[in-house]
Amino acid sequence: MSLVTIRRNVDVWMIMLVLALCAIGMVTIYSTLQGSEVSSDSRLHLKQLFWIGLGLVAMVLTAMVTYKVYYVLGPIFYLLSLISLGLLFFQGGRVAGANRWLHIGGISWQPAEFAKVATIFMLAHYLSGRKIATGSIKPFLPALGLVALPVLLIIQQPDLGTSLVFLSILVSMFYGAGMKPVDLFLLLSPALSLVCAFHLVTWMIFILVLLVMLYRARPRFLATAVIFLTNFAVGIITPILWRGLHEYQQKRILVFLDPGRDPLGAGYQVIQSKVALGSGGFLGKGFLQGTQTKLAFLPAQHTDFIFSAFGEQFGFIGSLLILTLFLLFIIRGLRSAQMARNQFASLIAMGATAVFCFHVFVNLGVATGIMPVTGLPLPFMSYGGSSMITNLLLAGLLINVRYRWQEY
Amino acid sequence: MKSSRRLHDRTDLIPLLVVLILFGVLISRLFFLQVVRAQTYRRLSEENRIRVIPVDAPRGHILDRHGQVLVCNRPSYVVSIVPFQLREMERTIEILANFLGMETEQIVTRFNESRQRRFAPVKIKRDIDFQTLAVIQENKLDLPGVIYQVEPRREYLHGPLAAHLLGTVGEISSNELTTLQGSGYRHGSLIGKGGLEKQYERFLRGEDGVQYVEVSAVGREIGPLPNRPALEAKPGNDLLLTIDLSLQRVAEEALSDSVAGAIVALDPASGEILAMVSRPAFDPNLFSSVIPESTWRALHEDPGHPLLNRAIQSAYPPGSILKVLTAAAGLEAGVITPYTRFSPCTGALKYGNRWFGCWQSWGHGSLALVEALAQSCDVYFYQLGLKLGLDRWSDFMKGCDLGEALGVDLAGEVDGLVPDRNFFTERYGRRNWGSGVILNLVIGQGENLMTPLQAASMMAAIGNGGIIYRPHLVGEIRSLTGKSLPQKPEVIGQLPITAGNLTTLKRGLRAVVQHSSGTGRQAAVSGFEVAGKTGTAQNPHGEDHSWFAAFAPLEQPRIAIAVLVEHGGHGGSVAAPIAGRIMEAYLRGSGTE
Repeated sequence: MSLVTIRRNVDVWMIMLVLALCAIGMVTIYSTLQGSEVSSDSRLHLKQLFWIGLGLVAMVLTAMVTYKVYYVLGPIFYLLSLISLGLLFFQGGRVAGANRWLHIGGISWQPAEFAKVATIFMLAHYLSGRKIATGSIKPFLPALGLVALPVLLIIQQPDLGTSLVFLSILVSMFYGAGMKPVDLFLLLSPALSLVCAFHLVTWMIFILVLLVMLYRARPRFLATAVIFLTNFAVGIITPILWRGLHEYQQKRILVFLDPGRDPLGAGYQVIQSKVALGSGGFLGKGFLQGTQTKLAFLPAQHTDFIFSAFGEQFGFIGSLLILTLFLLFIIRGLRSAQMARNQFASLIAMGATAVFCFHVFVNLGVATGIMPVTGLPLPFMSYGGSSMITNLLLAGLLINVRYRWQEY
Repeated sequence: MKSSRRLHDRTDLIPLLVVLILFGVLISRLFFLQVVRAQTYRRLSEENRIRVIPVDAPRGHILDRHGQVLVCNRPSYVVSIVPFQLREMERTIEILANFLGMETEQIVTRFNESRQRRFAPVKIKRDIDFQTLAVIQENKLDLPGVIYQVEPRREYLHGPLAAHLLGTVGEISSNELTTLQGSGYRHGSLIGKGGLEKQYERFLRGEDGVQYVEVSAVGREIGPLPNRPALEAKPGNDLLLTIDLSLQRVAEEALSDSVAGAIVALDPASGEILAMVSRPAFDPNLFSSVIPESTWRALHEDPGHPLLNRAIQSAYPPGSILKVLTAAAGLEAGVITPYTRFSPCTGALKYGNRWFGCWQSWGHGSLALVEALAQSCDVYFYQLGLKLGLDRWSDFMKGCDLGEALGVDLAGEVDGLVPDRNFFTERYGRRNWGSGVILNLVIGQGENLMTPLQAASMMAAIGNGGIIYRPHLVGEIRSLTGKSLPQKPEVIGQLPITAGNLTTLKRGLRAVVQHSSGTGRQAAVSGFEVAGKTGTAQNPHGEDHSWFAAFAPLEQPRIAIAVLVEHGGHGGSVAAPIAGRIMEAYLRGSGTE
């Protein structure tokens, strides 16, 4: 390949977007460390620089190796990640039930992060390996299991946010592999039924929608019956089971689903996050002028709530800038997925893009108070080694797919 | 490939559309927050802003089995400082120290230890009297940032009654706070520190509420935060104990406060604990108020260890009460029948070149099993022990679940000990102990250890036909909305004794109390047949421990009991009358129930 082709196929746009977001993130981390009330390590932004450096190396390496290698290694990666998730259970000293870190030989990492990448590989490997006739959902059922395994392991940690990331991977890749939206809806309907079951009217509306969908999709009679009865049963049984639980058990589940219910903990975070964003106004208070940030009213301001720290200082204009950068990045990722001629490559691009989209939406949704607090970091901006490296790795995949888009 | 056609189809706009909708939602939300509501939020942030006032949830009450209140809450006043509003810190703290009768440093320490957020009040002194409150109220202007709040305070209505099982509450420690992170505790939260208060903490605690108050820059409360209604505190669940208050009272009175010891009374048909006493005792109210350093130290350093629950946290050689199980081991192994007679007791038995004495130095003569139990003849059991051997004996004791905590719903229950071959080899070395140890073990002396709870449970099992229940103190957990979580009886084991042999044992235990030559005659209750066993446990620390364990009535027993008096002397003369009094009160009192 000539130098010109190489240059034309390398996604310079995407690289620029990633670098810009990382840089803004680092500057914002720096700004959160200035202030009398701040207790964090005052050199966190430099540590972040180290992670960015390490991540960029990972990104370049990931981009250079042809994705055919990932196709072959996919199942092995997947198995390894399941094993490392399983190892968490055998690691002593579970602190307060939340154990996301695996420590082996002086290195600590979060297996759940690695599992995202591995599951994308495995799912793409499986879905591209066979012919999928349009209209049939049968071949997708084993793939459901491939996603369920890591999710079941992660939900024990307990980490609902990360578990839901896998749902976004599943939806996007099934769609990419040719599943019709109606079928996707029917496939996931029992989960929706479970959620809706807590409110009678909502649930009845859900059942109506389900009936419409069933009418439109018109699967075979047996399938129709199974889908409808499953949903119906889930909707009936859930409230009964729920009422049978003792109050402390209910409370534990509710706090798991929505930590914001604890008004002195996460609920407080959301209030302060909204105040930080809102008080930033249209133009912001100016760099290093954020009072919420400086007086440490804003919790987790260099990790999960970094967007609020940024929004306080740079206002709505600043928020728009960040959103635009992410939007361009995601559109770029979608393009890679749609351009790729190889099914496997196309699918990993789809999955990676979905992970980014989900993280951005949920993180900002939490910061602006429209979603329960889940503890998902903002890609490229939040402080943290594991997530930075995983995100740059995923970006490397997108660049990889784009670079080899013509290959079959 | 057919399936990938969609992805190559660049006109497929659905994914893009989904992304645009999601981003549209975010942008409009941000527009709302940062443009539409910017003024409101700016004000909140500038005036700073929000004071979050936690409202402590009242802890659940603790009631006896008939619903009589044992522990409840009363309102009390607490003085706190809101760090954010504190001006001229030194001066304010000095004035406050003066009013509260505290040292300035004490306040500064408390303040620094627990200040986490600038707007969360830091509790300085709890349970202040009304006069102090009035003084603070009058001098409010000199004390910016000092506030008082009402909080529920724990009250143990009967003072030291059942103190060891009820336990205490106190302020959460930094350590507990770290381990319990995320469960809603904060500095100054009350938490169960011992007994049931600790064991059932998560049920008793309830859910703290919260008030959101908007505060101006000078610390003036403007009013509740708009759009953010207060969250009511949810009271904790009530505990309905299995304890019978009137029986507990009798038991408390029966065991003088000048001795050390313990009493446990069980319902043999369920393992429900009807009464539990440990001596010396303490008053848990001391802990629920702010406990002065000196009182705390006195309680912890008292040589009598009043905080120790001797009924479960302390194990003693059981003495002769263990003979009933040694007898069972002999019957089950076929080594003896109820009619077996060994060489007559002459007051001592020679084994090797050592004499092992019987407690009655002039001897018992020739006895069969029932009489040997009734008169607690050591020589009979020495000979039985020699025929059984150490292994058969220790296996049988373990089969009766001895040497193992019963799993009562209180922390700190000890296992007790059934010494076996491995135990002696480990402790003394393979060659440094002989088969003579069995002589001491079968009569309950030596290295044997048993808690009073185990003794009562053993009697309950013999009385009820061999079923070992998990002893428990909580019968039901009841929430304010009326939901209840009954704690059902749980079978944890079965005595390895046949029905016929149980009948023989019961005859022996009956004779202990009812027979004219029995050692436990002082436990008799007129009108009821009592079965029991005395014990006099030698120990290296002084006078023998006095034991009595029993159940009554003989058939379908309603109560099983163990009484232990440390260094009390003879079981028959010290512990037996105490047990008798308690059984009488229960059998007569609950007969009409």
